[in-house]
Amino acid sequence: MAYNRYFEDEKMENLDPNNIKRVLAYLKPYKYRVALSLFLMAMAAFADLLGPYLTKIAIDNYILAGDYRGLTIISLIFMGLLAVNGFAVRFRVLIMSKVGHQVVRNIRQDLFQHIQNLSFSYFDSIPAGKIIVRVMNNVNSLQNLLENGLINIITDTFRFLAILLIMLNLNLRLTLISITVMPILIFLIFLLKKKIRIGWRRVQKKRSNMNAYIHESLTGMKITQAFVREEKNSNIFKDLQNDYVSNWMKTVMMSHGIFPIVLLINTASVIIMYLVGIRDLNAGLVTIGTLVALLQYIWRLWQPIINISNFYNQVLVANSAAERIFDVLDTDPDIVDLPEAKVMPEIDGKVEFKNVSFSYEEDGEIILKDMNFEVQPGETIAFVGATGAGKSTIINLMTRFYDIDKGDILIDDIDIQGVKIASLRKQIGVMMQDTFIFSGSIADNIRYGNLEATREDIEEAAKMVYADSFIREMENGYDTEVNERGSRLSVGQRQLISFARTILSDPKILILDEATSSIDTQTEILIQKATQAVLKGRTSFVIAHRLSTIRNADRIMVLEAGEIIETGSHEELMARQGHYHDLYMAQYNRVI
Amino acid sequence: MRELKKLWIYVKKYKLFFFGGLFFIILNVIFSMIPGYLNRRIIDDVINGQQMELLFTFLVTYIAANFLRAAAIMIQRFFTESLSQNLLRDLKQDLYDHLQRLSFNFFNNNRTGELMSRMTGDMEAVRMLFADGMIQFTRAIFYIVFVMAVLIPESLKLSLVSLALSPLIGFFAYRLGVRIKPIFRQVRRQYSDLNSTVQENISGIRIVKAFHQQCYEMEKFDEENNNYFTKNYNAAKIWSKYFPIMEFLGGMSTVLLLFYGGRLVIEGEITLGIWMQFNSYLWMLIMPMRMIGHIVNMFSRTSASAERIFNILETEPEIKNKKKAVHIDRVKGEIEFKNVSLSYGDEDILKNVSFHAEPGETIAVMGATGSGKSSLINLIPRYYEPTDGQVLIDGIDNRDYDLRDLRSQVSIVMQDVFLFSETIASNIAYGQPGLDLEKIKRAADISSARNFIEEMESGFEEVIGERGMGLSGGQKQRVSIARAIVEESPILILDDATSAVDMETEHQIQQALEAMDQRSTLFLIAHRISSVRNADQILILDHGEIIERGTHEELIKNKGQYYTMFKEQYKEVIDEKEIEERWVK
Repeated sequence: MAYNRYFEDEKMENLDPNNIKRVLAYLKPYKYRVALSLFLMAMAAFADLLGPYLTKIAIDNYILAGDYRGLTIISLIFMGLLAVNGFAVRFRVLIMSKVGHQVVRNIRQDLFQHIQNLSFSYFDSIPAGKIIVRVMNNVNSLQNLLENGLINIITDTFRFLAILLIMLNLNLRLTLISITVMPILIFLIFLLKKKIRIGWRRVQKKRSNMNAYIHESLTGMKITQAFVREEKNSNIFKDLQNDYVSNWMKTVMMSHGIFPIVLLINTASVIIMYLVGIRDLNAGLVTIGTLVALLQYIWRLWQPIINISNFYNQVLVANSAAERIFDVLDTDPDIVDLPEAKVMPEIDGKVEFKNVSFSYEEDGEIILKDMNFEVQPGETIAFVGATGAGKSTIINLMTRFYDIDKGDILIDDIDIQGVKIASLRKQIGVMMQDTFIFSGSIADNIRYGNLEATREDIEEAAKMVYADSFIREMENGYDTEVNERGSRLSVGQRQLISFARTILSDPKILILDEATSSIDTQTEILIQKATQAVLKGRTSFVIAHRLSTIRNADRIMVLEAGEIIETGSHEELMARQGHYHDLYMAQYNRVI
Repeated sequence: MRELKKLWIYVKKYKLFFFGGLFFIILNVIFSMIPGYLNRRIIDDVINGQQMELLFTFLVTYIAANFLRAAAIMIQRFFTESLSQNLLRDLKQDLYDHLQRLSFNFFNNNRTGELMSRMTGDMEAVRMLFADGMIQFTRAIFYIVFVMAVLIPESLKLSLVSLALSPLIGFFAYRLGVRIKPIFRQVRRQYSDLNSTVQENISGIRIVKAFHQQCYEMEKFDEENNNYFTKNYNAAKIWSKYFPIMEFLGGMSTVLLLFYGGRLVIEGEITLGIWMQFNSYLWMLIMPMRMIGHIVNMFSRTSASAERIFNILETEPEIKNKKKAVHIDRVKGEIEFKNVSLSYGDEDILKNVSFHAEPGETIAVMGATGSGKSSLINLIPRYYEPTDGQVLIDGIDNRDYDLRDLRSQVSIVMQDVFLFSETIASNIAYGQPGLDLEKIKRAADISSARNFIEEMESGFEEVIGERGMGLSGGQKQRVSIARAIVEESPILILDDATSAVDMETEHQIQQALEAMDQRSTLFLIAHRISSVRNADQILILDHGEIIERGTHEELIKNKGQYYTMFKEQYKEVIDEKEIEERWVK
């Protein structure tokens, strides 16, 4: 697996029109509203564009002629147009921002829902942070394109053509001569915009590198202080900042260069227009009003060109965001209900592995080899073995967090591949190595095991795992809010809370994967006694390193490199004088 | 405003950029007014007055003015960007460095996300003010002043008419700012709510799936997602209400100018050229009015952000050097707790704890969850300070030492393992960047980590993900043990550092630690008897008090809590009779 470090930039990607097409497909349900927006936008642009033309008429026909009445009428028309423009803009903004935000909401919803169904193997391969960025930031970057980009590109093109038409209509010769400089502008703008785009990309990457570094610095602050590394980190941060600032300056100055270029090109146009225009004026080929109107129009001709060049950049941004979004949406969950899947009836507790083989990656290391075992309802099974022997894997397979490569896993003689996943997992309670505490109250965290549980149920579950007393000692008892990842709780306390959560879910099969590694022996013993009552008649599996935890099991399975090498009760295994015996004797020898 | 004054200290360092920026903004304003004046002269003098010989001069001036303006714009931008970037860099660096000085308690009480937003969002607000706000603000003022100075002498009446709608525009712009600000705040808050919902879901996805709560999670998410939509739409509604009004009023100013100015031209009170000049200056009057709300907003946003930034910068570290801190190169490692008590709020964490450890001794600390084990060892490197009593290292109160020196004496493996997203080698050498690979490997040997590291694709150069993704719990612990060992510090603390490591491996690690040439004073928090058995002293904590202490043998004879634990953990290996025979007699 390759992870990114703070100083490594992410790779760039190419424009794929398919991505944009798929994004646009989300607009389909709103097509009439989009069409209406376009119409409103065209109306607004039209009303807006007529301004200079009206000024021309006012100068030529009324002001120079001294016609008060005409001047009043034209002013009123002008006012009317402004009102039209205002209304059109208002409704266009309302409609399009609604559509844009709705589409973004829908995409995000699809994405989130899809992620809920993805398998563990997916989350193994991609860091959580990257998935979060996709759901939040990448989806948001589509917003701009959807809400403004599309509409603007169409209206800007329309605007550009309309201005050109009006100008040509006003005076063909003057217009043609004065826009001769336009190709230079278009060339310069597109050239510069490309550089600017690449520059901003680089700046953005530098920024995200820098932010990633800050984030890691903050989360690892205690380690940094413990290892007295503040100075080194400060210097790394300084370098990251300098790198960022120099990239920023380069790019920002290029983008500030656009306006001066437009200004100078416009100057050229205006000069040409004056030179030719005044000659024509004297020759009677053109009126003052026309000249004034043309001078006003030409300034408005440039903006659409800049906007169109911006649009291309917007599309590129949206493209890369879309690519990451669809990358997730196109990942099929590995583990799905079969079409004919049945609901798992209430589990009695018999578990059977038949010739089960498994590896996490295709052609990867084989974790389980041809495994066979049978567990009777109500039995407690302990798995013993070194790290990597396959203990956690067995558990991951039983709950179908992963699917096996070969063989069958039967629960109550039913193949778990043939039942609905939800009906299976609801009946199996797993307490994993990595405890996870949600932000919220402690009661809410326990309730997560069973949303219907009452307050009494929650407290009872907590009492059972001896978490009740420390919870009550906290300032708001069960309503005490805990932060992300439960940082104010000790690891042992976190384990107790997630234990209570699991108990509350009333599992038919209970799995404890090093669930009590950070809990002291005495509490553990108490918990064991208490849970034995709950688990009477229910099957349970225990993984632990501590002898005291293992010993109470009905049967112990010793694993080595994906195979069960010994099975039996503690006494049986000791009598056999095999691997388990050796392990135990090593302990014994260490005590004395 | 007080906050802006504090920012001035940072601005002062870049006076050239600041005042140079202001100067060129003003130049830009002046140059941008020249074309409007030339338009007027061309119409009045060249076209209507038929003084063709003037045209050439006017056009050359026109070109020159625009060239100068283009240059002024670039210089102005260069100055303001340089100012804002340099200032921000200094501010960020100060904040970063300051955060590194703040105590553990600060980080317990402040969420990472919150601190992150100081470093990003709030900094951006400050940047905006100096990169953009400064230009807009200065330009707005000088446009109004200069334009009015030029126009009023030409025609007072027309000037007043041109300005007539400005207060209204200003009013609506301000209203827009006032009304949209809280909505934007709601949008941002909702965004962060949505973000944390997603974040929690993804980081806890295994729990979500194990309990099959996808539907519940979808419900939670849908609610936040819909709220986010609604808040955004609310903002758009307000925007769509005010924006067209401002557009309309701006347009109406043009109409008024056309209507009234046209009459004045007809009446001969002004020339067509002057009317044109009014026309081309009009947006210079409208623009500042439209910006009022924006500028006011920007100032208040920046000052709020600056306040949040300075709040942190002005937070004194709870734990810092005394005036005359003692410098040390290397302590021997003698540690004494003298009547140490620690309380947090009303809660007593440690009560009157005393013990003494000779250099090179191993001290094991046992006790129930929450009994104060971690709190006790956290006092040694002064991550926290005792409420009462003293922690002495080599006979000197640890509060008298220079903090850096003190912490260099102590290596710790915390119970919450944190690894950085770097190579394994640089994680192990975290405290000693650039350390020789051989030394790193030796440390990994001692922590039994070398084998699994070398089995990885790139071995020690393998990059691990955020929070050590890709490694199992036991592997993470072994890497972090190596990180502590490599320091070769006189004091080593292992806080439940092998809880996820299997017994055999734990035993190997322990033996390797004991075989090390230079014995550190070792503090060990553990739950397994096997881990603590060989310790020189075992302390049993209960509700912050030491209730038992002694060696393994002594404690067994004592038949207290340790004895019970021992019996429980080893009851299959060794029975009570044998214990009696071996230790008690």
